Amino acid sequence: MLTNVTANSTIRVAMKPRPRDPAKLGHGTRLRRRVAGVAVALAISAVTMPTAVRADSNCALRLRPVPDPSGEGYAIRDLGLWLAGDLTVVGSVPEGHAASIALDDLDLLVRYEPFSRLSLFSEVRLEETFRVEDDEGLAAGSGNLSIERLYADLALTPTLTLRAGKFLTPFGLWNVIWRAPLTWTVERPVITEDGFPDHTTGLGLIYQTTRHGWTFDATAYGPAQDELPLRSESEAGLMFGGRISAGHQIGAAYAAIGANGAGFEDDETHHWADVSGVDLDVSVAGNKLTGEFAYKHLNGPDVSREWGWYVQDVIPVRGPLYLIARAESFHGRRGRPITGGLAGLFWRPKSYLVLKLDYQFADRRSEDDLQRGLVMSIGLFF
Amino acid sequence: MRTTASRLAVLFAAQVLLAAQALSAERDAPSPAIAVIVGHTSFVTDVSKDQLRELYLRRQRLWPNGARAIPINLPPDSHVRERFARLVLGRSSEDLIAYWNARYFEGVTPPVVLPSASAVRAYLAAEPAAIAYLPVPDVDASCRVLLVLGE
Repeated sequence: MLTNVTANSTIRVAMKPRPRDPAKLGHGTRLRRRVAGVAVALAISAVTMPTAVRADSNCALRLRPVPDPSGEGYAIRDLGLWLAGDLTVVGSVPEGHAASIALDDLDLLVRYEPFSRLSLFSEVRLEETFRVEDDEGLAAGSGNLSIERLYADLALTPTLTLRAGKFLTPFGLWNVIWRAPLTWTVERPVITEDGFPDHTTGLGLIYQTTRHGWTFDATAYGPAQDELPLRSESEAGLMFGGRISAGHQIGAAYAAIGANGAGFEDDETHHWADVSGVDLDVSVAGNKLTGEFAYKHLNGPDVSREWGWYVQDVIPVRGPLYLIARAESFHGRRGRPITGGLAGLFWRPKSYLVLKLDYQFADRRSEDDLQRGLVMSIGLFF
Repeated sequence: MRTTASRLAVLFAAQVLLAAQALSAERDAPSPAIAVIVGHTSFVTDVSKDQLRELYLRRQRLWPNGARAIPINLPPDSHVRERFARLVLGRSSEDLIAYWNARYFEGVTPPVVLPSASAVRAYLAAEPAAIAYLPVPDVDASCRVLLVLGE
């Protein structure tokens, strides 16, 4: 586990840049490649470069604690390194469309803690490697390689952390944990996908504490949207926001409520938009009730608004088998509103295997959001 | 949609009732108090229940002096661990699954595990930044008690 790195262990990291012909590369391409290089090097260098870990005769090393079985990934404690990955295969049988199966995501996560106060984190993702459609056969997918996250956390005090880099926008519950194998359903609720930029590039200040049994979180972030995409389609522009949440035990239940606000340049209209929202998270006896509401207001000549909500209940059935029920509604700035939901099953028979099966329904047929029909996924952790 | 919402409400209400029953049954069974302990050489002199929650949820990972905090858990099937989770974290281990999924997504894993009371005591004696918990009868002179829970 990472917490066991001895304070005076030293780790020398050397990165040798590959020679390139700068004349052949645009500025954006060079920047993206450099950033990708840093992300990949973070994984490779910490393992392969010379290290001088102090040989410790302390008997603590002979009585080494083991990782909790519920934890995932591989920890190299003496190096302060943690590695993990997963892949997801998604199948869908939408109403009125061809069935398909796709290798949706391949993710690599790396966390490196060179010092007690500093940790570096990266997530590199390969998207849509291939896709098989009922009427078209095998086709190569986009194969986009994206840097989902790349940031450094500096613990200023035990309760205050400064984050710098690219990270998931801390807006609501879903956006900070949307990786397929870890979510309860195959598809995320529409309002968590369309209301605000998924990523923030810049600085974040995170405050976490517990006082008198109340757990408090506060986060402020900015100044930019996704600026390190490593792919052609990107969001860009300024963004600022914040989130506060409070949680408390109420009898047998644990409940947390959060409030979110963000302002950003809308990538379609290039006008300023502001979005605000609230969320609720209640856990009791393995049962998990969550809900989010968000309201977005677009400024400029074409003033408009969009809003939506979802409520989801996860009910333990037996062992690692859960039943999921979700209702949701989305009122976009174009087109008719859509209301629907899903009934699904989540099964994790082994710690490395997650199977999901959802039947989605809606009050109208849609090409993009909340497609009616069956979706399923297989997620593997490694 | 109205039907879906009412079904959700009924399912949730049923879950709350089941949880209340389970908790009431648990209260009937007597359990020894739990001592929160550090080694005798530890620089940690006191800890509050609030701070314990932060440490065991890995939200706080440093001691005030900047040293990396090492919270130690008992194995997942331990009744003492389950009771500690309810008393300190305010949730059962089952209720924490989604929490640890979210932390895993940031590369933060649950506290490390030692298999027995004797292993816990021996580790604390050697590692000043570690903190652990044991049933009061399992605590001996090699440990310093900071807090007693569930008396």
